Amino acid sequence: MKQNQQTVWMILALLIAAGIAPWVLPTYYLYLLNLILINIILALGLNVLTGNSGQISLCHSSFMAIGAYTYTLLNNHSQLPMLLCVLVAVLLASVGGILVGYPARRLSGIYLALATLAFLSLTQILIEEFPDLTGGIRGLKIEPSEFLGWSMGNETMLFYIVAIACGFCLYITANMMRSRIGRAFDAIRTSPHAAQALGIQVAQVKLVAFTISAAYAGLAGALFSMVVGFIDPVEFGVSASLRYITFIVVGGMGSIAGSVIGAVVFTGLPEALRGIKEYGDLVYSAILLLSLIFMPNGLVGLLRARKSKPNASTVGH
Amino acid sequence: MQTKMLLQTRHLSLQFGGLKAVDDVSIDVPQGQIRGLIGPNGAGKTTLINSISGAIQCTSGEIVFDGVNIEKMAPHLISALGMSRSFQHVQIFGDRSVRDNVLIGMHRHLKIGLLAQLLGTRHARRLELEAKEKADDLLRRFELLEDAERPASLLPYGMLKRLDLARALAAKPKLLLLDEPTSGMSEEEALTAIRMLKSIVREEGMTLLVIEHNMRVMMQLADFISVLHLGRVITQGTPDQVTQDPIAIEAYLGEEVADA
Repeated sequence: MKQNQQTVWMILALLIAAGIAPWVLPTYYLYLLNLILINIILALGLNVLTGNSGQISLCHSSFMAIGAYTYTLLNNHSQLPMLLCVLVAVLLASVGGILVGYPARRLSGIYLALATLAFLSLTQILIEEFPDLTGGIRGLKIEPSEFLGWSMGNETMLFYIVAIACGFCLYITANMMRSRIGRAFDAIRTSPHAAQALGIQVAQVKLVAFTISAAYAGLAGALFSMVVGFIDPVEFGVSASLRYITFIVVGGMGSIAGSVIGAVVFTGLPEALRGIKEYGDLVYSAILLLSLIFMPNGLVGLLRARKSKPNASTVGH
Repeated sequence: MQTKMLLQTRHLSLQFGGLKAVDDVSIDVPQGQIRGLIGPNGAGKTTLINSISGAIQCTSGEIVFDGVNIEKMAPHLISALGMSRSFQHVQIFGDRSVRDNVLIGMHRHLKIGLLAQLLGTRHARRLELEAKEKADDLLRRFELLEDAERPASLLPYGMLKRLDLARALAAKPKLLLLDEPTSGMSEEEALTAIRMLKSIVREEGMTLLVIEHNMRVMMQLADFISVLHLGRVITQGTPDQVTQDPIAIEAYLGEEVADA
């Protein structure tokens, strides 16, 4: 009961903070906050696939690209309302998830990594080979649009949209982990044999994981194009996919808090390292390596261990 | 009317290179029976279970489960027909709670739409709550309820084995294959767990095929016992018949008598 109360207070505090954020934060920090929220959405989705279901993906930036390009093209060339454009973007990204997930049902480990890498290359080539539609390597600018009569250029409006989307994803993910499908995700990772013996259709669950996970990435992609206003294929390359894996590995695999912490730290870090620009990548890599060695359960694992230590010692004595 | 045969193997053989691990085995298990499998180490008991569950493809012969020929089927299709198994080495979902492990067992019977789960609709929550009550009931019967919230990885081995049983029963398969369900339990623990297992199996009308080394446990549990030796069924009968059968005593029971 006490923990429930704590959660309610925390959610209330976050809501209030999100409510006033666009009124007090300078433009640049609001922009950074938007990116953090978008990365949280992406990390939540990737963590469902990798952390819970145990499937690696090197093509999450491609799912994001599908979402971003779909949203941008619909926004620029059609009269569809904003929400519908986002919905189509999310649906198409999940179709991408199905395309990858279908062969992935029978693959694992290094073979799955290669298959997803192939999908990433394919997406990159498709974007670059159709410059008339996608702008090719020169990228694509998002035309300003409106939502409920507000211009999407309105920062406050944009922030609220991103924040609500992120809150929604957190809510969905929390529900997922508490219910049948979330348990099945963990089951097929920990012991596929036992899961199968209990009547869980392992291949089907993997496919669902890929589809849901790609949908998160598609949403993140659509929001990304709104916030940044410009997209190009470089943004969705393999380095982006690797960065997202870093989020969840350092944050904490299979944990919602881990996704959030990882996304916050690694979106904020490059900004914090701006002063030592040349050495930024070095510090980034060092943090990744050190965390792999010293925090195998991620930052979340570290925090949990800290929390439970005093308890453990009182029980001991 | 004759009882329906739930599982039949006909001249089932499985060869690893020159070794016949299972050799021309024909057994009939009627619906609702608890069938024991005994035999010395290396008799082919686990291999037989592996080939029935589809984990290993048999070399020749046929397996009929609930009227369907399954000898060439993939394991996930066989399990969808209503056959479940436990493993000799417990395979638990360690980072999930004890209760969640049982709920994972109930996966197939818990029918909630994906969207309803994600959105956490009232309907989905109610079904989850009902499932949780059923899970807790099973946990209570296996004396695990106090540990329901603990991560399963923290349980000692004997309790893990009990959780494994509770989880397998939660799946309510038509046929449950158990590979040494009480290994690692104390004698007392084993007998209690077996009594609970038997009463639930009878309530649900399940059929059981169980490998067990502890003869005292087997006597309590099985309706009928098949004795395996070097991949063949050398004799079978009720527990009383088997313990007095000279062939069985020589192949297997003799060892124990000699040990004692």
